[in-house]
Amino acid sequence: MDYGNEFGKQLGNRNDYVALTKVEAQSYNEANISIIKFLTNQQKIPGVYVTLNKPYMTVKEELKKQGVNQDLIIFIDAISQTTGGKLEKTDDCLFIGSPENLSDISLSMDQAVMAIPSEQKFIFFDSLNTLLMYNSPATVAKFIHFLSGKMRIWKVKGIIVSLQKESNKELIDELTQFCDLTVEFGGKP
Amino acid sequence: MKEFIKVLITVLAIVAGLFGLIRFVGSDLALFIGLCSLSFGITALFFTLKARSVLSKGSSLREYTTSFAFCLVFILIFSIWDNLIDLFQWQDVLIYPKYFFITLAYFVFVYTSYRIFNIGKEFGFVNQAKKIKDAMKK
Repeated sequence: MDYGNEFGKQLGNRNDYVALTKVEAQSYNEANISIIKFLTNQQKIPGVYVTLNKPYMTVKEELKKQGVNQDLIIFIDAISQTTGGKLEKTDDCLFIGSPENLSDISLSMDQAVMAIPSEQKFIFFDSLNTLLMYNSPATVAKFIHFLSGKMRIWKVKGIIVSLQKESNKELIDELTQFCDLTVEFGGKP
Repeated sequence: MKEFIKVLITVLAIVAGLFGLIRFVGSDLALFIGLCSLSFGITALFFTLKARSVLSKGSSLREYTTSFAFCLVFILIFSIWDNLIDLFQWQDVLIYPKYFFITLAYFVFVYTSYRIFNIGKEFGFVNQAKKIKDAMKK
C-alpha cells in the first residue's frame, strides 16, 4: 500500500490542515516514511519532523534508505537525550531534553517553522502515544489543543501521528475534534 | 460589559493607589517616584513567577525565567533600600548596601543575557534554513 498517496487522496483539496493519522503498529514505520516522502519528494514541501519516538540518527538513516529528500527537513529530537547524555545541536536537528519538556518542544517548533523560507511547510509530529507515556492525558490533550491552534496560525500542514490501539483510545478520539481530518491506516494488506 | 467593568475597577484601583501614595509621602517627589517604581517592579516579578510556574520543569525557557526573576528581585531590593534611605534619612554606612544590590543585579543581568544568547544559539535554525532555500532552488 502506498500510504503517502493514500494520505494525499484523503486530503482532497485541503491546503492547510491538521490531520490526525492513526496507524496500525505493523505498518507504523512504513506509513510514516511514506507520508514524509509524499510531502518532500512529491510535493516538494519543506517541514519540521518532531520525533519523540526514535532518535534523530535512526529516523535520518531510515529516511535516507527510502530516498527521502532530507535537505528539506528540520528535525526536533526529544528522545535521544533521555537515552544517552547531552547531544550537541546540529544544523538540521535540535535535541530537546525529554518528551516531558513541552515548553522547549513548543519553542523549538515555533523557531523551526518560522525559519523555513517557504509559503508551504509541514509539521510532522511523531507520536501522540510517546507523548502519553511521559505526560498525563490531561496535559497531552491541552498540548494537542495548543499545537493544533498553533498549526493553524502558522498556516502549515500539520500531521499528528498516533498508533491505533485500545489504551487511551478515548483520549485520542477526543483529540480528533481539534483536527480537520482523521486518516486511518490499517495493517499491511 | 464584563470587560468594561474589569477595566473600570483596575483604573479606579490605580487612581486610589496613587491618591493614597500622594497622601502618604506628601510633597516628597523622590519618594513618590521610588514607591511607584517599586510597585511596577512587584508587578513585573508577579508576572514572571506566574509564567515560570506554568513552564515545563527543566526547560530552557523556565531556566531563563528563573534568572530573570533573580534580576528583578535584586532590582527590587535595591529600590526598597533606596526608598528606606529616603524615608529614614539614612546616611554613611547604610547607603553602601544599595550599591552592592545594584551591582549584584547587573551581574545577574549579565548571566541572564548569556542564557538568552545560548537559547538563541540552541533554538536558531538559520543554517538549515539556508540549506532548505538552496534545496528548493534545485
